[in-house]
Amino acid sequence: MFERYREIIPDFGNFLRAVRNFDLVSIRVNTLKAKPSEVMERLRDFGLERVKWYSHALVITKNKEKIAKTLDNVLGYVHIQRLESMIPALVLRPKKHELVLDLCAAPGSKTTQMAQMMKNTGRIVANDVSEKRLRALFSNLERLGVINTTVTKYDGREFPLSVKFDKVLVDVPCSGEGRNFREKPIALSKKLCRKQLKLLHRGIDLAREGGEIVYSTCTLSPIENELVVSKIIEAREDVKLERIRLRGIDFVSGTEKWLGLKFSAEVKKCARFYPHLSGTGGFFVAKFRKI
Amino acid sequence: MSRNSERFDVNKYLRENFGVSKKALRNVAWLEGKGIIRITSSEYLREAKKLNGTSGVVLFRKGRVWNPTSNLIFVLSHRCKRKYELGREELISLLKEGEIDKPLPTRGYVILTFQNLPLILGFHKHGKIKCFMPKEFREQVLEILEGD
Repeated sequence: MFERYREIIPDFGNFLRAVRNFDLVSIRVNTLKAKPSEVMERLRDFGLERVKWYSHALVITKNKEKIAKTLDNVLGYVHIQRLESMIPALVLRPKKHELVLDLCAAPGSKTTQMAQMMKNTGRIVANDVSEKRLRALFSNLERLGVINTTVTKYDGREFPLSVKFDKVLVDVPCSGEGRNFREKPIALSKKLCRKQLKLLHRGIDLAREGGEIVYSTCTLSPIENELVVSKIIEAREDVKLERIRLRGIDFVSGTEKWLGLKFSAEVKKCARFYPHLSGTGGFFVAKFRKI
Repeated sequence: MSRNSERFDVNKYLRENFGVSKKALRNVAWLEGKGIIRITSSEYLREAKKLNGTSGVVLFRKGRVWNPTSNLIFVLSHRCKRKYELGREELISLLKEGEIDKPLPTRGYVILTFQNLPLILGFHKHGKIKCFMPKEFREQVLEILEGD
């Protein structure tokens, strides 16, 4: 399993062990409505443990299967969210009163996380092309009490250029190898890469000068990660890649080569997250600044 | 300024009926359209309009008068000062039957809490409370209570 990534994943044996044993369940406290200490007190039967790199994230160590059926979850005081899915918003760091675009937003975990970081001020335009997934997004916005959003239904590749954003999140559809820990065909990654590239181009087009763009996937495949970033660096002069800085979590730099493919040296500024290093699912994140 | 008026004052209604402070509604805009009123942030409304999207959350629906929706529980109840606590048996009856006998000092929509968590939007009249939460939500909460 994942043998083709042996050359890029450090301490590969430990990685495989971590993948086999991975059963992490985590929640995010919705600080629009609750404090982490209150939630920890109410949900003490779940053996909650704080996450050192994000004070609103809690890992569940007991009764994992029951967390969905708690009043705290039903009432939106907490949101069940994978730890790695909390990373892009922390990298983008949306602030109060900013105008933010979440180009592939549904079902809304990252949108609602950004809303709480912005304290329900400013505006997040949460876009998704899928009607079914938008229903889940609306439901999460209501349950979590998020009011600073405008939901749109465009193909992200053709999102209207009439508004420019302070910050743009491009969390693209991907093969999900880091989430499901199942190896996917390279052909699928190649197909997705074309779509991901178009989405990222559009995301950059939609950022204002000086604005920031975060690109993320939950896959291990460099074709959907470093290759997309490299192609952007080659094709555009209006963005620069910025180094990922996150305290309290271990990750490695993006890889410059894989299976005979060579990527831009700049991709070292990107970050790869692995279960045996960061305690999360597999994840990739890159940050650009529009110049 | 009444609830059937053309000029329904949402802020005043929320202050007077639920004790929501002025401060809690400071950066909020109310968008009215097709028998609903949505609550949203007051910023970047022009940009939102350009993109032809759906902003905020539906908080009022117009019948004969403007009525709060169950979203009030999720969006504003933590800002509401006027709430009434229900006991476990009362709550289970309300969720199952849709109505219970419980005299309260105020008439109209009320927020009902359980173990201090705002849980139910109800309507109180003549000593009876009606539950105004969606069926799916009621079933979910019942399952949780009965599973405890």
